[in-house]
Formats: sequence, C-alpha cells, structure tokens
Amino acid sequence: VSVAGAALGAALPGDGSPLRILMVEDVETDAELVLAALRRAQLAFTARRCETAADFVRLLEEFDPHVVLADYSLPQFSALDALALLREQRVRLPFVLVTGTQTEEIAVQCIKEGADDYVLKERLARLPAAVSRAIQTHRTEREKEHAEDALRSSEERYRLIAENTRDLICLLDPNGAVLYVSPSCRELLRYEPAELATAADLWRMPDDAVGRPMGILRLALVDGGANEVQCRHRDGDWRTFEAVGSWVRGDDGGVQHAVVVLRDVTDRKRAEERLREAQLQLIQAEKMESVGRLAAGVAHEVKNPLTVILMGVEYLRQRFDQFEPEVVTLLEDMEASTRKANTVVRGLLDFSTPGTLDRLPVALNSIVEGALALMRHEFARAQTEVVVDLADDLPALELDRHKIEQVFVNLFLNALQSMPEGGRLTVRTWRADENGRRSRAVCAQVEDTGGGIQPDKISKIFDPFFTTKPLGRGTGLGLTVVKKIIDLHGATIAVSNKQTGGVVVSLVFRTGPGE
Amino acid sequence: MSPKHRVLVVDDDLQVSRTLKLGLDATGRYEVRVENRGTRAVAAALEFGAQIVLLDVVMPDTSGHEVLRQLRAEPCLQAVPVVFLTAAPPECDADTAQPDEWISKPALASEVAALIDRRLATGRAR
Repeated sequence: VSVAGAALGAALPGDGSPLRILMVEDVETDAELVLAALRRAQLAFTARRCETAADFVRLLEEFDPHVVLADYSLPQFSALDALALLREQRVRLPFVLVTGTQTEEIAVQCIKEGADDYVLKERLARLPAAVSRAIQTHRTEREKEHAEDALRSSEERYRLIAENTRDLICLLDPNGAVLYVSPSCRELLRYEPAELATAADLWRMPDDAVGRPMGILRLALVDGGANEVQCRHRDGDWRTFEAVGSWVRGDDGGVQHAVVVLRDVTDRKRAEERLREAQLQLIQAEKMESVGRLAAGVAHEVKNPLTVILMGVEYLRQRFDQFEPEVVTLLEDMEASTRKANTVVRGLLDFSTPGTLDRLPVALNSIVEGALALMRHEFARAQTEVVVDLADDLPALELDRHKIEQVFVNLFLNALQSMPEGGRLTVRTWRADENGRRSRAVCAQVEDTGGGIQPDKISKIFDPFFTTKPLGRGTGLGLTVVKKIIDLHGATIAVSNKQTGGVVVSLVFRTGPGE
Repeated sequence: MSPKHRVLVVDDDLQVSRTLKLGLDATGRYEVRVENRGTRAVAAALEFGAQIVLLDVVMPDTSGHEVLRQLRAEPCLQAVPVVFLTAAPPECDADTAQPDEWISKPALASEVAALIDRRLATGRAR
C-alpha cells in the first residue's frame, strides 16, 4: 500500500462504503487514466462521469459524491461552471482540477473559485495524494464549522439566560471590578450596566469592608449559601437582595473571577415583616384577652376588701373627728390610698373591657386638682416640686370624671417614677387660641424634669405591656389605659421629649358642639 | 321621729355586708338586715318587709341578675327598688332585667345612703 493509499484510506467515509467520485470529463480514455491512477493507490471507490451541467446537477443529487474531479474545459461545460453550480446549490465538496492545460493562471483562477487543488493529466501519480488532501481539508473545515456553530449556539443560550433572567448576574474580578452585569440591572436598580463599574456600585459596603469588596459576600462565596446584601436603587432606596456566589479558579487554583447571582427579595422581606407584625398583634390581642379575664377576676376579689376599708374608714372618721388631728389625717390618708388602689384596679378593668363613659359637664381643673390631691403624699415622699398653672377661663367639658382623673394620676405617677431623685412636675391647663379667637379646644400638659424617653422607644409607649421602668415597677398598662380613655373622649394625647430634658405630655380636649 | 326605712343588704361577703350595715346604722335612718345567701334573698325581703334591696351581683350560690328576676316576679315586691352593688363593670344586656340603680364598689356608706334616700323618694325607676 502506498503512502497515498494510506492517506486515501483515512479520507474514506466513516461508514466503510467506497469513496464516491464524480468526474467532469468528456474524454473517456482520460477518465480511465484518472481512475487507473486511483486504483493504483488501492483506493476503494465508485465513479460516475458527466459532460453537461444538467448531468452534473442530477448526479450531485442521485450519486451524492464525496469528491469532484473535473477537467478544465469541455465542449459544453467547464470546471469553473461546475464550481459555480456547487456554489449555487450550496454544496461544498472537495474539488480537484484534473487538466491537460498547463497554464498556472487557469489553476489559480480555479482555486480562487473554490477548487482545492489541481493535477496535470501527464502527472496523475500526484492525484491520490491531492484527492486525499482535499478530502481532509474539507473534513477539517467542516469540523471547525460544527465546533463554531456549537459554540455560537452555546453562547446564544448563555446570552439568552443572562439577558432574560430576572435575577442580577454579575461577573467580578477578585478586586471587585464588574466585568459583566446582566441587563436586568435596568429593571431592578434602574442603572445601565455600564454605570456599575465595581462591587461598591452594586451593594452597600459596610465600613469594615473598605478595600475588601468581596468581604460582604464572604459567606455566599465560601459556603455557597445565600447572603443578604443591600443594593442601591437609582431612586435612592436600598433594596434587599439575596446573593449566591461562587469563585472561579484558574488552573493554578488561584481565584480569577467571582460569579454572583443577586435576587431582589425586598417585597418578600416586606411581606414577611408584615406577617411578623400581624403575628405580634395576634399575640398581643391574646395577651390582652387573658389580662382582661385576669383583671375581671382580680377586680372582683380586690374591690370587696377595698369596700370594707373605705366604709370602715368613713365610720371611724365619723366617730373620731373630735379627737386628735393625727388620727383624722391618718384616716384621710387611708381613704385616699384606698381610692388610689381602686384606681389601679379600675385601670385594669378599663384596659380590658369595652369602654363606656359616664360623661357629665365638669371643670377640667377640678379633675386635675383631685388627681393632685390623690398624689400629694407621693409628691412629698419623692421630694418633687409641683408647679400648678391652671387657667381660670376654661369652659366645662363633657368628661367622665373618674376616668380623666385616672389619666392624670397615671401621668403624675409616670412623671414621679422618671424622677427618683426628685425634680419638678408642672401641670398646666389653658384654652387654645385659634387665629386670635378662643378656640373650642382645652389643653393640658404634664411636664417632668426626668431622664426622658429613648427616641426609639417613644413610638411604643402606648403599646400594652411596654414599659421603660425597671422590672416589677410598671405593668406597661398605664399609658395604654390613658390612651384608651383619651380616645374614648375623642381627645388627643402626644408625648415628646423636651429639648431641656424630661418629658411633656400634651392633652387636647374639644368642647361639645353646643359650646 | 320618722320611722326607719327597712333596707335589705344581700351580699355573700360577710365583711362588706357587716361594714355597710355599720355605716348605714350609724346614720340612724335605716333598719338594716343582712342576708348572705342570694338564694334566700326573696324570702328575706318578704319576711323583713324590705323597702329597698341592696344586691351584690356576683355571688357563689346565685347571681344578682337571677335574684333580681325572682324579686321582680314576686307580686308583693313589685314596688321595691333594687340597687346593684357591684365590683364588676355594669353589664348592659337588654335581655336581662335591669336594677333601678347601680353603685360601684368600693363606695362610702354615705354615698350608698344618699342613693337609698334618693331612690326611696322617687320610687322605682321608670
């Protein structure tokens, strides 16, 4: 077997069938010579010969050749015509020019038009190698084309994924420079991909991550777990994204890239937050219900003993009022304390039962004075200076006297407890002016010089069971009851810290429509 | 001297009923009788010839509402005002009989006395 024969063997179709050769040749003896040259190379083949364009096209279809061997010039047809037909039919076949013409120009022209090689008829010994090379060249080209097609398809698929995903896909270098970011950043963050140059443009960098742009993704990148990051939206909002990342390492094991996929979970987080709040409210409601049951039971059990004490004190006062003033004072104190204890029990009941008011026209000042009287011993004990500034031109208000008294007692108690080392409590009332005219609103304020309320706690002070007092000092119901009573009266309450320290509670009551 | 008004106190709490009786007695205006069992209230009212009944609401053997229903059902007691002495917040239930007055515990005996006098002067609530 010659070298050319071995090469031709390699050029044969993979299915073991003989090589199919289509010859464009009008001289039969020439054709025989050509085929004889191939036979000498021990090539298994079948061949067909054509002389016209019509035959050529028909045999391309019928014979499905592996290779075309064409003479340059036939009476009705030529190699250039054959090449043109192949182009027209979009058929690409190994094409070897076998010609008696010796001009190089013709050879060059044919190769320009798509021929792979040319062999002179007087040197047919070169033919098997030329055929083999042409077949190999075509096969390599085809393989290359297939590989390129596959790559293109694959790239197209990845592009489709990256550009149509709702997640944000980023490719970063180890220093955090953005090499690629998916166009979803337009919809998710309202930024153009080109505007996001580094990781710091993408997500909020904590102070300790300066110089370590990937530090924030440590967990996601090391464990492959999800890590939450805050991404900046063009409108100034920070949105919460879940980041899943992975390092891309080179052959040396060194980190070359990081791929990070970010998913916007802001809405989900908000929904979870709302759910959590709803659950808390539910728990709160359940707590309140159980406190309500407890309160009703406690109220009944405590009020009977209080009745006995109150009536007993009254009886004793009637019997002893002609005796020592100390005894009289003691009995007065006992009565006041009993009423105060009752106020606490009533607070529990008010908190836990639907509110009903017993409203009568009453002077707000007299209620304030009543509450001050109930508290006077506490004020004295805590060495609290009490400043009372009550306007004398207030209209009567439709109020439930006991409940409003309870409001002031609660506010006074809170003020006192915020000033354990003593301080100044100011209570004032006035009639609000509105555009220079007397308005229908009556205002009251209770002010202390205590430590104030932490700003982050101020929104919770009316919540049931919320207390800033030490354990065991407050039930967390005082201001809740106050708020409930004030709401029932259609009045308003506001609590704020004073610039100079301490808290000021402001109440506004509206007079009735007839006022 | 005008005759004393007969006041029946129905309360299961011994201390409350005793102290209330002490306070009312001290006024010198009433003849007070105490009944600690709610189930005996109607019989006690009839026997005593009560002119007004002070009635606890929450009692172990029966409720003030049930006693009130029984008092109202007794023809001889139709005109007798009934005052609820209650430690619980008043219930506003249209289906149950309502007393002529409510007074919340704790109260002074003088407050109870003032209420008795007012109610005796005006008779049963309309």
